[in-house]
Amino acid sequence: MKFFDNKSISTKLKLVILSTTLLSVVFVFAGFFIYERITFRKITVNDLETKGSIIGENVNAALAFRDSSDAARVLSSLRSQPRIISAAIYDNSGKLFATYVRPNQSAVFPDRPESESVYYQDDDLILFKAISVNEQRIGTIYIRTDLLNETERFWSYLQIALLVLIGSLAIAYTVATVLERNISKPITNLASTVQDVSQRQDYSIRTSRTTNDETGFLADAFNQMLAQIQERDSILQQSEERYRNLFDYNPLPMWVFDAATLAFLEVNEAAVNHYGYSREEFLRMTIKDIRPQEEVPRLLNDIQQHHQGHDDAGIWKHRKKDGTIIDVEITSHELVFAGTEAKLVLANDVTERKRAEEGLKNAEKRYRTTLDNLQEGCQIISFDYRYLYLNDVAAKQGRYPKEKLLGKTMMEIYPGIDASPFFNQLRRCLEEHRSHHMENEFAYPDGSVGWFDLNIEPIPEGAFILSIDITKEKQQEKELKTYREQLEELVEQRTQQLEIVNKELEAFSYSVSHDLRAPLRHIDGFAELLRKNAAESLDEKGRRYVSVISESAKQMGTLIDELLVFSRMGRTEMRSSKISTRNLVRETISQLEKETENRIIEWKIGTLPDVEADSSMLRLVFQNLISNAIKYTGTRERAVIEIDSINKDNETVILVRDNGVGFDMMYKDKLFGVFQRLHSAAEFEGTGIGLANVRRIVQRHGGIVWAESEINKGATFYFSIPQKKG
Amino acid sequence: MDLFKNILLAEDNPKDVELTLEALAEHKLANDVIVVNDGADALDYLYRRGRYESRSAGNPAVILLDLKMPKVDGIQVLKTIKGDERLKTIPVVVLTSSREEQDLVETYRLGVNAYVVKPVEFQEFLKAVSQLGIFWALINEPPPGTDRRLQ
Repeated sequence: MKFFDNKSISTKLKLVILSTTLLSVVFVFAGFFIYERITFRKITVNDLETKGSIIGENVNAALAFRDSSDAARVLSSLRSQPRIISAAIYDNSGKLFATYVRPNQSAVFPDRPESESVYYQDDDLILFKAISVNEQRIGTIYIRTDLLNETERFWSYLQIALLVLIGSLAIAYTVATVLERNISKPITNLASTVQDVSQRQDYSIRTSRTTNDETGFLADAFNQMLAQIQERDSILQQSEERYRNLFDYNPLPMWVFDAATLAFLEVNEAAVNHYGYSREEFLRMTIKDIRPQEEVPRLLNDIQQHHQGHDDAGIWKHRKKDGTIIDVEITSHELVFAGTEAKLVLANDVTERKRAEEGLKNAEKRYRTTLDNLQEGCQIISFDYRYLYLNDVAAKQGRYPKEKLLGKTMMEIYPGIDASPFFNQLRRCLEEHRSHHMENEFAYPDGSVGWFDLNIEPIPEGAFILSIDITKEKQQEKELKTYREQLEELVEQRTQQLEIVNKELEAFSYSVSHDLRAPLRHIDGFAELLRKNAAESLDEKGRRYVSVISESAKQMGTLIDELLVFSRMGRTEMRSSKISTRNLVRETISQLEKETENRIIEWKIGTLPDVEADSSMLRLVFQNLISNAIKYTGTRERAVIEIDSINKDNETVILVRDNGVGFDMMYKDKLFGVFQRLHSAAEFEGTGIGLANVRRIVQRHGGIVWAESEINKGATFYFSIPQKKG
Repeated sequence: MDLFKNILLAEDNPKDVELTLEALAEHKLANDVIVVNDGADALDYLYRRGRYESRSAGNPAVILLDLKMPKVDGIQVLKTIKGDERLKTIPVVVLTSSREEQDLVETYRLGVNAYVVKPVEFQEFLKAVSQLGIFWALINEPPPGTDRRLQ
């Protein structure tokens, strides 16, 4: 059956069908043949018996008369029966009476006849039959015949059987092939899918369902199963990846080593990064290789002790690839890794921590020294208000020696302190662990008072108090406060005074404006009337006096007007707007037409910008500067007056330049003062207020005014106006 | 035939009065000028009371008003005139020495019809006053109720 087991289903199916067909045909034919043979033999025996009977009848007489030749003649009639080999007749005494032998054949006859019987001998059928007359046996007949007919029949039967067999097998094979297509094909598909899945480990493959029978269900079930397997497989893969990541991306160095050979079996990235060996280098090493030489015996000893399961193996020294020795805290765990007894190791570099711990001890010492020598008072108060620590400054602030304070409670040293706001904060710090900063007035037992800036911090031992003596500062602050209050009062007084003065000034200038001008007008008016009405009674001198009176009155009027303008420039509100200085200059020049009559003036007007200013004030500035330029070029045959601007980042500078008489820079400081003049009235007329006005206006706009000149080489006046950005 | 109208000059300073009249005389306007020396007098005239009780009805064609006057100042007079339905139509010209902005603002706020600063220079003064007289007494068509006389 082994042979059968290894065959494919389609072969098996074919073999089963073919062998079943073969067996059926063989059995049918075997049965048929046996039946045929039995029937044939029966017929042959009957036939032989009939022949014997006929011959017996025919030889009665010959026997009775002992005519053997007649008997022989009767027997020779058997010649028509080719199957009969030989025949003989025995008399009643058993002697051979007559014989027949098939031509061309020799025969041996039995010596004596046997009793009536039919039997087979040597593939021949032998008949002994008694010859009787009136039931008196007179002889015996013997016939021997071959079975050649039977053999012929058998062979022809066999031929038919073979033909049928071949035909049946052919049909059976065809049927098997068709069947295979319907039955074995789906199964074969399934089988090949299974093979694919198992070979490629690919659970996403699906078999196709071609039939609707059990194989179809099988395919469905198989696909379902595959889907489940795929799902589980992916979960398994994810899970494996998760754990893999836990290892690979663990921030701490991890590795697995063979428990027997101590060889590295696996290392994670952190190990590679931290130790400096590549993964390949690691996998060629054992854990002895990352130890300094002196640590190896301890390591081997430790491994021999064979820690079971989880193990905190303590702190070890490891050596990095670059030779650096690090302190590492090792945690390990036994596990079976790829079938090998192994250990999983987690290495935590504690070099820094160890260093820090050592540093901490030094730091503590350092801090204590620092505290001792601090310029601020430091004290540590226990939860029951005892002095645990004081530095010298704190003791000095407390006005007791350290030894007297240490170990005592605050209440013992300063009775009544527990009622103070400071103590209240200290209690809160101790009970609620709140830090607090305060300035505290401390009353000493002798009645004197000190001020302290206190920082109260909760610490494990109780409270830490940092105290700074601010008694002096407090006193100064107090004094300062008094000064400030006095100062404020003073400023207020002064402001009030100033306001009064300002009001008086206003009233004064109003009065000047109104009352001072009236008499001047009268002087001029009546002088004029005098000249008109009494012209004849006045001589030349008298007329000159009258005209001097008029002139002086006019001059004073101008002076008063300008003075008023000057005073007003300092007081009136400014109304800023965007002004085109270009237009302003043009207007000013045309207003000064009267002064430029009969003059040759070349005007050079550059690019003049828009500025943010009070229009009427700025007009006055231009009026003054330009009329000055006209005035001081009066002696020039051809005057050149240039007006231009210089644009700067956040201001505009405007200049007015002339080619006039100029001035000595030595006196430039006097230029812009009230009533300050650099030229005599005989040289150039003027009140000495114009430039003062210019300066006042420019200053009110937040700008400055200055001038450059050289005697007889002209002068340039500059003023700046700050420009708002945007 | 010209129709002459009255000018009311309220001015406390006799020198200014004289100069003003002189200026008006240049154009033969002086005969029709009523001079009062303070605000109280001015109001008396306008309301026809006190010594002006018996004057004939009618308002002046223009009032030339000084601001700084004893008793009742020019601002007060202006306020009264412009606050009275019967008087508010009379043109009021402030004729003053003051160039102060506060006076300008206040008088215009009260409804003054013109504001003239007396020039110091007599020629200028002459010109200003005579122009005022010509304009208000001759050229300008006064509101109804103004005192007119044939001359």
